[in-house]
Amino acid sequence: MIRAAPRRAALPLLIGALVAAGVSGGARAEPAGGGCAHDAALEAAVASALRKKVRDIESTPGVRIEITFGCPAVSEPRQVTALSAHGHGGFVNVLELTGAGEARALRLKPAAAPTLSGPPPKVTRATARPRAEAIQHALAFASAALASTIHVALPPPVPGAVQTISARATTHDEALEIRLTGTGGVSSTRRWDGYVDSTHAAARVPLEVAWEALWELAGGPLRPAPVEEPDRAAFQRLLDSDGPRPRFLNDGLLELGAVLATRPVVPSLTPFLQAPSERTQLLAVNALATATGTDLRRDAAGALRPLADVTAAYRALAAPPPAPRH
Amino acid sequence: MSISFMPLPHGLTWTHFTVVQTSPDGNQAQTGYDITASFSYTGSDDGGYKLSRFAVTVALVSGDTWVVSGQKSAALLNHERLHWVIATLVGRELDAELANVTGSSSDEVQQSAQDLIQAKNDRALAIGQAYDDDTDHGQDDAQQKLWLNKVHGWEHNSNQVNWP
Repeated sequence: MIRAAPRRAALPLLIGALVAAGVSGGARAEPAGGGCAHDAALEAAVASALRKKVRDIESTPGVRIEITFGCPAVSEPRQVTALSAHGHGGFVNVLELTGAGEARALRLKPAAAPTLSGPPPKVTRATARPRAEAIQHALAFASAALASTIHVALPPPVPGAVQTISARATTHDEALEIRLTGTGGVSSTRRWDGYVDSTHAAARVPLEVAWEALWELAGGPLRPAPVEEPDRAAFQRLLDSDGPRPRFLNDGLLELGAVLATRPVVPSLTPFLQAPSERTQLLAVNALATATGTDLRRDAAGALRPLADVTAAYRALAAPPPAPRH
Repeated sequence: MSISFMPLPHGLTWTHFTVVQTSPDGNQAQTGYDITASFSYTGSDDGGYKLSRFAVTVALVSGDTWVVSGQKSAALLNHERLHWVIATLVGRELDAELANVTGSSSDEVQQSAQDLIQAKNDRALAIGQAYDDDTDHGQDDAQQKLWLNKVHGWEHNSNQVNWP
């Protein structure tokens, strides 16, 4: 989880440096001189989208919104793995764009009160094979958004005059995670989690704009449909990726596990059996039942076992076998 | 010092929420608010600047305050209302601390005032995050009651927020 520092009036906040995480492969778009090619028309469109979102939440009168663009962390992105979640019962969304040009979107509406005995969660999904131009545009748009720096400048103070400074906040908490991968496996992951508010708009809005551009690739409306092997593979990639996640995002992923978990993710799921929250433990149990193909939630007579007994049983199941005696 | 709340801390009801048919992100409800400080810059006795005639307002933002049709419940309102009460308590802190903002120039005072307002916003959100985490966004009834008692305790202790 990465949180940006509050913005300051006098100094532009280098959001890219603060929230960029996990750039691997060492390649960046800028050549040795430090520059990179800028598409003025593209950046104007991205700036417009960014500015609108900042304006929507900014409540201090008379501010000036300044947007600049650096070089994308991945110069030629080709693949995307992205995740978003919204608190207070909001959706958990998974988005993947493969190098072969297939876009898939999965959406889960978390259960208010998940149980050991309940049906698996309902997942809606969409897949599409967008035109190459559409993919290229979405990737460029998202990359530019993620390479932007937003600075909100107050109007200058006037001695004797009344000034108003305001912070707007909402109870909408959201988490966003976008991983772009380019040629040669160079990748960059950006994350944000927090409440939708004005103070952190500079850190949040670039990811929101990038997310929306990429989500459109999945095309039409999401519909209930059986999950496919690539869905399970995307789930594994997300679960295995590093970085702490807020609880409501982890819980959403675990809930997806009840339909997407496979045996290779068992080691990633098992630690959640000891989470402080019983809800998290319960979701981990349901995911492990799917991943292992072994249902330990009921006793021999078919009755539900206490949660503590079930988590212990799955921990034992996941434990490595004892070393052979010599 | 002057502070006003719109509505009063415990005055938040469903009448303040716009009913919407759907939520684009799937959440059931949202409460939005502004913590606003208005002030003037005046010279201080030591040749610097300070704030004067300052006033703080904590106000709901109607466009950011909504509930999805069919989702209204006493539990959900109680959860949202406590977010609001927390914001008003932090607004009181801001009102008390603005008097301490000084600087050698009006630019410096403006910066300090903005930093303080943003720090208070961060504080309200950090408390709100702990509240949401503990209560699972209001779905854990026992934790919700604990938080209600905690916040009431702050109010009964001269509105002193004992956090962290």
